[in-house]
Amino acid sequence: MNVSHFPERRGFAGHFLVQVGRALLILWGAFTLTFILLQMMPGDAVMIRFMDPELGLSPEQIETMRVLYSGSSNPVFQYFHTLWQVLHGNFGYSVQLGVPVGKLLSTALPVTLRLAGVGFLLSLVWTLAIAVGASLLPLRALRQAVHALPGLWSAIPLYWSGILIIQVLSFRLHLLPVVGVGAWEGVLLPGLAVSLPVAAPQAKLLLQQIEETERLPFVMASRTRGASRVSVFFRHILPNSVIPSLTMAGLSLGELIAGAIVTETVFGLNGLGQMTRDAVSGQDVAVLQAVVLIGAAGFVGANLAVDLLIPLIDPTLRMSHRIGGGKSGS
Amino acid sequence: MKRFSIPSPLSVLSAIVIGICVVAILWPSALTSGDPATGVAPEHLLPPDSAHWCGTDQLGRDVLTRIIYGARETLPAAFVATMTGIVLGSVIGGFAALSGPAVDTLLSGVIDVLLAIPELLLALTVVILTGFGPVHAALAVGISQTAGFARIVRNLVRTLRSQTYVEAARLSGTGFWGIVGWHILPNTFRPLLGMGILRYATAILSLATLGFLGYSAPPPTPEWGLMISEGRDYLATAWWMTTFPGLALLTVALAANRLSQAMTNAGEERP
Amino acid sequence: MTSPAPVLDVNDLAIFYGDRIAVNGISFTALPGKTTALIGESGSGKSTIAKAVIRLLPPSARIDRGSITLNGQSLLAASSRTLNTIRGRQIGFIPQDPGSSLDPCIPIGRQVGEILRLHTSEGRQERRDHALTLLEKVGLPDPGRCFSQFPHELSGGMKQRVLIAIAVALAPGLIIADEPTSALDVTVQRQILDLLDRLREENGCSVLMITHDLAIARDRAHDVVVMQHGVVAERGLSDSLFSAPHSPYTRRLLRDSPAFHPRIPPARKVAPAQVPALEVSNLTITHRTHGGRTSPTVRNVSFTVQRGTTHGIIGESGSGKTTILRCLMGLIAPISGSVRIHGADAFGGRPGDRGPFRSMQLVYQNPWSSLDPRLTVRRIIEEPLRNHFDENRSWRLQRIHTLLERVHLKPDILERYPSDISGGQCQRVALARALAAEPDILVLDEFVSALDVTVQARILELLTELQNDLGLTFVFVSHDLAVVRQISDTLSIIRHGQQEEYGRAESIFSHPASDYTRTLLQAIPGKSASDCL
Repeated sequence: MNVSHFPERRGFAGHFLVQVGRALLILWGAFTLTFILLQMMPGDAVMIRFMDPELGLSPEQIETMRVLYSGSSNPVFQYFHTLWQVLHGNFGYSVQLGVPVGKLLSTALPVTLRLAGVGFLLSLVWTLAIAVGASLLPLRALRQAVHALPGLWSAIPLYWSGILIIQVLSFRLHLLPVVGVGAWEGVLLPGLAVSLPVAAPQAKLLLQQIEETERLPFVMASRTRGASRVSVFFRHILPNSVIPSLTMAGLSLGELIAGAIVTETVFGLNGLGQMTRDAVSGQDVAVLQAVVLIGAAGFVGANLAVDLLIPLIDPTLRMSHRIGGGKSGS
Repeated sequence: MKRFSIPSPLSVLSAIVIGICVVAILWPSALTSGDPATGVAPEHLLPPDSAHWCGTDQLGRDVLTRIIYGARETLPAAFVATMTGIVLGSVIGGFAALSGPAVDTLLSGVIDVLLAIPELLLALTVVILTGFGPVHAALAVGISQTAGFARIVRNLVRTLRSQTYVEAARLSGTGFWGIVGWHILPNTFRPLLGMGILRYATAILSLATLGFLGYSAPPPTPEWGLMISEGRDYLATAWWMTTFPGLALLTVALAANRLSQAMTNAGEERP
Repeated sequence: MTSPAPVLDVNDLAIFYGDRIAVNGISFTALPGKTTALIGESGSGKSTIAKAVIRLLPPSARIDRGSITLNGQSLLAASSRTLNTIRGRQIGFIPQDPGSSLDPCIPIGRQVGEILRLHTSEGRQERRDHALTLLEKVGLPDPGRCFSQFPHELSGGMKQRVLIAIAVALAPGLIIADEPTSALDVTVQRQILDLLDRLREENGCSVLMITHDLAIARDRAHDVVVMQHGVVAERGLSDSLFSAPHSPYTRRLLRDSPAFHPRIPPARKVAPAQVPALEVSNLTITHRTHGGRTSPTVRNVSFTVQRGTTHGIIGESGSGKTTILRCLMGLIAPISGSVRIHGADAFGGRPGDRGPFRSMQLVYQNPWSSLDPRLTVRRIIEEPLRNHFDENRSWRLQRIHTLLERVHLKPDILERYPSDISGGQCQRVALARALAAEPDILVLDEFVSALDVTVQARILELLTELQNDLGLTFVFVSHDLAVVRQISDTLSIIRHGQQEEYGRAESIFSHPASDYTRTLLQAIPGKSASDCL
C-alpha cells in the first residue's frame, strides 16, 4: 500500500477551530441579515433606542428625533453600534412594552428551553423506539406500521396535535391537568406535542440509514458467523446508522424552538412563543430580531456540538481525517 | 423504452385526494350546497350527524362546507409559495454550483445563514416586513423555503458536474452550455420535482400555521389554520371544530408526501 | 479407491427469484481436504448457491426443491436457531469484498472475538489471546497492533487475511470463499490464495470456492463445477476438465479466457511513420488531492506509440496509471515533461486549449456511468457529431448507422436507454461515441475489466478489427496482464508512479528485467496453463 493512511491530518484542535469559526461566521451572517431586513422597517433600530423610557422622552420629542435621525444617521455606524450592543447581550428595547428585550427574555427563555428540552428528549426516545420497532417487531405488518409512523407524524400540524393531546389526555381522560401546575409538569404535554413532528425527520433518516447499513456486506458477513438478527442489529447495524443520523438531531434543535412558538400558543405558556406573537402583531422589531438570533444560535450551537462530537465517536474520522472516498489516484 | 410500474394503492389514493382538492378549488359548489360564510344561527355547535357530517360551528356554519371552501384559501397559495422557493432556490443554487469557487463559497455562506434561521422565524420576519394577509403569507413561506431548495440544487448540480458521463461529453467536444442544457438540467428535473411536491406539503402546513397565528387571511375566511384557531375556544364542548380541519390538513399533506415518494421511487428504478 | 464421505452434498437444488429460475437442478459434492470450484459468468447462479448453502438467501429467493447436506445433516430442514450454531462453527464464509465486509466502527480484535463470543465459552482474556493467535496464523505482520486497529487502517489484502482468520477461527469442516480475491491486486491475490491453500491443508477442511476466473480454478481447485444459466455445464476433476473439456460452453470459456491464450501479436504491416502517433517524454505529474496538499504520483514516464499499434499501461491500484491517462487526455497538466500528439506539443498552447487533443478520444471503464442515463443511444452517439461536424440531421443519422455497424450493434438499439442494454452493448455504444469524433488515437481505461470473459473476448476482437480497418492507435490501460498481453505491441509497467519497465510486449513477458515485473508475472493465475501451450 503506497497510499498514505493519514493524509492531511488537521488534528482535533484544527477541526475544533474550523468548526467554531464557521459557527461564529454563520451567527454573524444571521445578525447582518436580520439587521438589513429590519432596517427597512419604518421604525428602525435607532429609533427604538430613543424610545427607552429611562430617557424620559415624550412622543413629540421622539418624533423630532425620528425626523432628525432617519435621513442623516449613518447606517454603517448603526450597524456596528447594534452589533456591539448585541455582543454585550443588549438586544435593545421593546417598542410595545417599553422594557429592555433582555428583561423579557429572562422570564420567557427558561419556559421555552424547558419545553424544548423535554421535546428533544422525547423525540430521541421516539426515534430509537421507531428504529427498533420497525426492524425487530415480529410481524411484517407491525414493522411496516411502525415504519410508516414518521411519515404520518411529519404531516401533522403542530398546533393540531397539541389540541388533540389536550382534548384526549386532559378533557376526556383527565390524566394530566393543563393549567395550574409546576414548571416541569406544565411542559410535559406541550413537550409531547412538540416531540412528534421533531422525531419524524430524525426517525425517517435513521430508518433510511438502517436500510442502507443492512445492505452492507459486513452485516451479511456477521450473519455467516452465526450471529442472530437481533445481535447483528444492536452490535453492527444500529451503531453504524446512528452516527450519520446525529446530524439530523442537530438540525432539529433549531426547529424545536420554532415549534415551541406554536405550541406555547396552544398551551398558553408564557415563553418565547408568546413574546414572538406579540412582537409580530405589534411590529416590535427588536424583540423579533432577538428571537430570530436565539433560534439561529440554537441551530448553530446544536450543529456545532454534533460536528465536534462525530469525530470523537466515529473511528473512521477519529484516526485520520476524512480519507477521501477510499480510492485515491489509482 | 421507458418503463412504467403499476402505482401502489396508496399512491392511487393520494392522487384521488389531490383530485378532490382540485375540484374543491375550482368548483366547491359541486361538493357542497352550503354557504361557508353565513350560518344558521339556531343550528350552532351541532355535533356531526347525517345533515352536518362534520358538525357546525359557533355561528351555525357547516364545518364541512367551510373545509371544502378552505381548500381554495390554502392550496393555491402553497403552490405559489413552493414555486417561489423553487425558482429562487434554483437560480441561486444553480448559479453557485456553476460559478467559480469564490462565488460558490459566498453564495453557500448566504445559504447556510438562511438555513440557520428556523423556517417559521424567517417567515415571521418577512411577515413583519410586508404586513399580514394571504399573499404576504405565501411570499413569506416561499422565501423561507428558498435556502433549502438552493442547497439541494447546488449539491445536485455539483454532483452531476463530476459524473463520468459529463466528463465524457466534455471530451467529445460539448461546450459549457451544451453540458448544462443536455446533461445537467434534464437530470435535475426529476429530483427537483419530487422535492417540490414534498415541500408543497410543508408549505401547506406552514401557511396553515401562519393562519392559525392570525397573520394570514382575517375571519370569517374559512382558512383551515384559522378554523382550528377559532375552534380552540370551544375545545371542551365542540371537538369537531378543531378535529376536522386538522384532519383535512393531515390528509392533504400525507397525500403530497406519498406522491413525492412515488415520484422519487420511479426515478430510482433506473440503475 | 474409496473416496471419503463428502463434507457438503448438494443434490438437485433449484432456486427461484420470484418466478425467474436462478438455479435449476444443481448437484455437486465437496470432499474434505479438497477445493471445489464453482465457476461461471455473472448470472450463472454460482453466488446464489453459496448463499443457499449458508442459508442466507435474500427474502425474495425461494428454494424450490433439492437438498443441501452438511456432514449428514440437512441444512434445509434446520431451524434458524440451529443454523446460527452451524454458521461460523461448521461453515466458515469468506466474503467477496474485503473492503466493506468488516464493521468500520469496531476494532479488528473485537471483530475476530465476535465469533469466539458467539460459539465458545471463552472469557475476555482467553478470547483476546485466541484472536491474537488467529491473526498471527493468517500471516498478519504485527498482530498486536492490528488487534486494536480499525478496518480502514488496513490494506485490502490485510482485511482479507482478517476475514480468513475469522472464517477458520473454529476450524470448520467447510469454508465457502465467494470470489475471495476479485477485489484485490494480482500480487496480493496470489498471497491470499496461497494462505487459503495452506490453511486447508493444515485443517483438512473442504473449500468451496466461487469464482469467475478460470485460471484461479485451474491453479487451485481439485474438483470443478462449470455453471451456465443456473445449470451445470460440466463437472469433473480439474486436470481432466481443463485438458479435455467436453461441453461446448467450457470450451468457449477456455478459448475466450486470455490467461489460456496468450496472443502473439501479428507482425504489423504498417510502415513505421516518420512521426509517432504519441510521444510522451519525462512526464511528471503531481496530482492535486483534497485539502490543498499535493503529492507526486507520477515521475519521469516516457514512451512512444507508433501509428496503428497498441501501447499497454499496466499497474496495480494506486500506481498512478489513471493519472497518466488523464494527463494524456489533457484533463491534468503535467509539472514537467511533454506529450506530443502527431509531433505537436499538446501542452504548448494556452492552458485549457482542447485543440491538440481533438484527435484523441477516451473510453471509460464503467459501462453505465459514462453514458448519460437520460439520453437514448441515438442522442449519445449524436452528441460528438453535432459538436464536430456542421452537417444536417439526416447526415448525422446516416453516420450513426454507419458507426453502429462498425461496432456490430443493430439499429433497434437506437431508441433505448443505457439502463436497458447490457454491459457489453454499453461499451460498444461508448466506442461508437468515441469513433464519431473520428479520432486517430483511442485511450481505453480498464475498458473490458467490468465484463464477463466471453463478452470481453468479443470486445477485444472488435478492437483488433477496428485497429486493422481504421489504422487506429490504442493506449490500453489495465491491471489485467493477461488481457494486456493479448493486444499490446509495447508495454509500460507502472508502480508507485514510476515506470518499472518499458519495451516490446513479448520481450517483457519472456525476459522481464525488473524484480517487480517478475513478481507480477508469477502472480498471474493460470500461468501453468499458459506455459504448457
